[in-house]
Amino acid sequence: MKLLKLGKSYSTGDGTSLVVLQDFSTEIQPGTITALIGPSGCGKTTLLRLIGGLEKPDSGSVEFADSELGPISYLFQEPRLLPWDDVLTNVELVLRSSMVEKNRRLETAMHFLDMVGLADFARFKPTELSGGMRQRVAIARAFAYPAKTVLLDEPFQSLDAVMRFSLLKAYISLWEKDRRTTVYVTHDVPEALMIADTIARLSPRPASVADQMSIKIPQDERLPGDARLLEMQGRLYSGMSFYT
Amino acid sequence: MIHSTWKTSLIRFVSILLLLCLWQLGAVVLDVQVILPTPGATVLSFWSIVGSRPFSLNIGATVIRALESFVVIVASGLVLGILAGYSKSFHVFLQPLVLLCKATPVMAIILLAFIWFSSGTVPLFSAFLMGFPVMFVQVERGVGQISPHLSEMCRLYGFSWNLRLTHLVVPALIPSIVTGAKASLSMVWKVVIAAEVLTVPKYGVGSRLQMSQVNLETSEVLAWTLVAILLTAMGDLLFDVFLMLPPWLAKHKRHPIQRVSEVRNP
Repeated sequence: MKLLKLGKSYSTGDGTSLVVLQDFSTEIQPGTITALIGPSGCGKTTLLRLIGGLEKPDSGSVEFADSELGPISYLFQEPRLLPWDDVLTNVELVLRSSMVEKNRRLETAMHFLDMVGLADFARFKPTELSGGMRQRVAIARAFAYPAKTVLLDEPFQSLDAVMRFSLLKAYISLWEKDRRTTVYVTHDVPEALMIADTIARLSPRPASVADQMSIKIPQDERLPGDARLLEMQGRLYSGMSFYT
Repeated sequence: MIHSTWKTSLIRFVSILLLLCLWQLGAVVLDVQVILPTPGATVLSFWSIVGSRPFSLNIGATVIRALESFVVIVASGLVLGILAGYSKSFHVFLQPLVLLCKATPVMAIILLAFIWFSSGTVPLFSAFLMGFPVMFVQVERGVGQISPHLSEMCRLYGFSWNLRLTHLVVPALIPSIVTGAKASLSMVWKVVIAAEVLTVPKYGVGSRLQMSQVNLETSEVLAWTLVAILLTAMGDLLFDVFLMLPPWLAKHKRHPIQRVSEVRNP
C-alpha cells in the first residue's frame, strides 16, 4: 500500500484551517503489521480514515497492492457493536454481503468468536459483556469480514494493561493464521513493539514519518522486557522526547 | 422518597374515595339530577348502557375508528419520519403540513372534515391529522439521535440499506416509536370521541354522549364518559402488555449456551 503525498486540512470555528497532513507519503508492505505511533492530534486517525475511505484526502492518493484490493476492516477506538443484537449476530451481519447461506455464516462467525475465546458468549448482548470482551467481539468481527486490509485505531486504549496485552495476543493469533495487511495506530510504544513488523514514528502535526524501524522478531516470541525490544523502545522514546 | 406498594395503594384509594365523597356531597347539596347526578345514579346508568343491545356496536365502532387511525398514524409517521430524518429537503417539504396540523384547533379540523366527508370518516381523518405530527416528530427526532459511530460502522462493513434499516435504524428508533405511538394513541381516543360527538355517526361512544346530552340524561353522559375513560385506560394497558411481549418471549427462549452449542455442533 502506498500513501502518496496525502494532504488533509479541516476548517476551524474561527475561519482558519487546521492542516493535519501535508504531502504525507509512506509505503506499507502487504501482509505485514505496520504501527503508526505519534503524539495525540498528529493525524494518525485521519490517516486511517483516509486509507479506509471514510474521508477523502484534499490532495494525494492511497494506492493498494493487487493483494490488498477489496473491502477494508476497521477496528475503532470503541467496539461499535449493535447493542440490540447478540454477539453472534454482530459478527454474522458483516458476512451477509459475501455469504448467502445462513448456516455457513453462523459457523464462520462462531469460528472467529471461538478464536477470541467468546464462543460461550455468542448469545449474550454486548451490554452483558465487559469492555475487554466487547473489544474481542469487535476483533472477531473485523477478522470475519472478508477484508484484505485491517485498520486498527487505538482499539485498546481504554483498557487496562493486562487486558491490552491479552487482546494484542488475540489479534496476533488471528493474524498469524491469515496475514492481512494491518495498519495499527497507537501512541503506546510497548504496544506497537509487541505487534508490529514495522514501526513508523510520526512527527507532530502536520505529520510526516520521522523515524521508521523493522522488527525481525516473530510476534509470538516477543515478551515485555525483551532486551532487543527495550533497545528499540529507548530509540522511539528518545525521538518522542520533544513532543512533551 | 420511596413508598411501599401498600402505602401507595392506600394513598391512591383515599384520594379516589375523597373525590367520590365530594361528588356525592355536591350532588346531595345541589339535589338536581339533571345538573349533577349522584355517583350511585351514574353507576346504575353505566350498568344499564352496558346491558343494552347496541352497547357492543357503539364500543366496536369507536374502537375500530381509533385503531384504524392509530395504525395509519404509526405507519405514516414511521415512514415519513425516517425519510424526513435522513433528508433535509423532505423535512423542509413536510414542515408546513406538520406545523399546520399542530397549530389548527381540533374542533376546526373536525368541522372542516364534516363538510368534506361522511360522519363515519370524520373521526378517522381528524384523529390522523391530530396524531400524525406527534408520531412524525418523535421518529424524525429519533433518526437524528442514531449513533453516527454505528452508522459509520455499518457503512464501512458494507451493510445493505435493508440491513441498515432492520439492524440499525428501526431498533435505534424503538424508544421514539414507543413514545410517539403511546402519545398518539391517547390523543386518538379523545379526538375520535370528540369527532363522534360533533358528527353523530350511527354508532359510537361520542354519538351516545351527544344523544344523552340532548335528552338531558346527565347520568348517562357521565356513564358514557366513564366508558371513554375505560377505553383509553384499556388501550394504554394493552399497549404496555404488547410492549412486554418481546422481552418475555426472549426470556423464555432456550438457554443461550444450548443454542450456541447447536450452532457449533449442528
